[in-house]
Amino acid sequence: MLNLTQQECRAILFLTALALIGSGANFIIKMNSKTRPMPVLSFDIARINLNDADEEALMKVPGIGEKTAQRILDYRFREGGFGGIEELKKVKGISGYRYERLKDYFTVN
Amino acid sequence: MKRPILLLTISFCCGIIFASRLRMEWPLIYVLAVLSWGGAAFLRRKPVGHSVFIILLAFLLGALSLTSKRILPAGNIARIIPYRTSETYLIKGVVVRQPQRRGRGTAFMLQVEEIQGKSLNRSASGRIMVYSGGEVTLHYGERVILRGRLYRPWGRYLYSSGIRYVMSVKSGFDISRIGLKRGFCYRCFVMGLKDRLEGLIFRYLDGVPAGMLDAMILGQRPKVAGFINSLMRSSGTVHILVVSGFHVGLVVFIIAMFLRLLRVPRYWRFVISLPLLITYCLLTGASNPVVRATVMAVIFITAYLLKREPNICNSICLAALFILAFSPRQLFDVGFQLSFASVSSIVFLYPRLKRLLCPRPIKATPLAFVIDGCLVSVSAWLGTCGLIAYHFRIFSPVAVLANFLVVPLAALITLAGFSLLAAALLFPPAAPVFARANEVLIWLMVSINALLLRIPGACLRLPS
Repeated sequence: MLNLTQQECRAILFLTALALIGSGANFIIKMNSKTRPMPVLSFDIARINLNDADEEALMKVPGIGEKTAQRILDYRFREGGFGGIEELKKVKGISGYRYERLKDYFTVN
Repeated sequence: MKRPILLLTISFCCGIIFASRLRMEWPLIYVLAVLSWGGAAFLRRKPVGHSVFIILLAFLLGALSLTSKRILPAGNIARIIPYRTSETYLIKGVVVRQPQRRGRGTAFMLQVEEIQGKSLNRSASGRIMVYSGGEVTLHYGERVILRGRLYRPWGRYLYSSGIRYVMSVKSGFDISRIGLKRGFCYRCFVMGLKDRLEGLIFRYLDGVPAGMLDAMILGQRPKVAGFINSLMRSSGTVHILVVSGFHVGLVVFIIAMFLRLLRVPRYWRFVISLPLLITYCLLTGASNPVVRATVMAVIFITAYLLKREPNICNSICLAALFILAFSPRQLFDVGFQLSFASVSSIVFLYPRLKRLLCPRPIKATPLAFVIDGCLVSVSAWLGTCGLIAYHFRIFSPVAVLANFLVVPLAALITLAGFSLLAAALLFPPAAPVFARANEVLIWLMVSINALLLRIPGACLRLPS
């Protein structure tokens, strides 16, 4: 039917035997695999310093547009800088919910 | 039989289809496969019995390969994360596919190593697709921590690539680079080279031609302008924008010509071509058509080196087996189907059509070239029109004429593109000249497509 030579028969038998052994080993490894607990991941995002950032840097933060960036800059100019991240709440338009979303992106030095 | 692998490949594919329709337990298929192997080994001196068992074994191996893919290890992300989740997770992993721009965001593939949620902090495995808002500069092999939400992918494409989850990351702020790199060093080198070549294309060409050349040479389709995509899809020439066997053939031709200029002996020309072809395959992202064409080219070259007669049908079947053995779900992927349907129909239909329409050999070379070009185009169209109509709901009778005109032009553009890259790397002052030549040729190709689509009935939209 396939008209294979003896050499081709042997080659096919060898390759299929390898495939069967590999497949069996793979199955055993998958069935016996376990997950292990890991140490807590520390996520250090590149935070923006509220007392340094210009308008362009502020606008890179998701959720801050041109208007809000300008208000942050106005507040910084008016108050002489931010004393802490919590002061962001005093900027017009940054409510409690919005502050929660934004606070991880900023730092104050 | 000159094509024993054809029957084995068909049997393997039937096994995959069988396993996709009927869920059988892995151990049962495995035991049957081992028994078939035993039968084939026992009857190896009896041709008919041996062949029957080998065909059965190929069928069972096909079923086994798909069933194996369904079994996930305990740490796989799909087994750790609940089906419906709105929680924000931290995932640590390695970038395993070069990030690509998608609209306003960036997409890349990540090999997961660890996952952390509110009540979860474990090692994990599996791959996820990551979509991030904004432009993110990451490279292959970089280890990162991502923060975002996970959801199941839509459609079958990602699922067929073994991706069970998609992560949505708001912006680059939610990606933290750990800085360690892990990955196949040679692949890191190739990815670096790809970035450099891509930079050169965009430096010397304008946006639209640069996007097209990037797709034609480096296989980066996301940068092709939307109107070019729809124009070429309607005219049935969109395959030009995908690196395929046609491009691999051109690369072999360029390597062979270059080495011939250096007076390298024929045997060594082929030996040197092999690693260069594999490099090109990795450079273009090792998509299905490139892997198919590369495997076929490697088989042809190896057959020459081993002084054996290459058979094109056997090499197509081996390429299909090679892809399906690693990723059996590709059988249901439209790209895989179109790639193999087009090349198979050219191989099987073209000689028969030629015998039917031109029983006597044509002596005039230009006429023979025109007839051959038309027949190849018709063969490829006949082989793929059914699949295109089924999957995309488009029927393009103009595709035959469009391919006949556009394919030679695409060959010229590809050659000109490689010349541009060579000039930009070796002698930058000459690069703008090649860049203008490329722009003219690309403009001509787009114009021909646009002109052909104005013919009434050129492209018919089928009801969905």
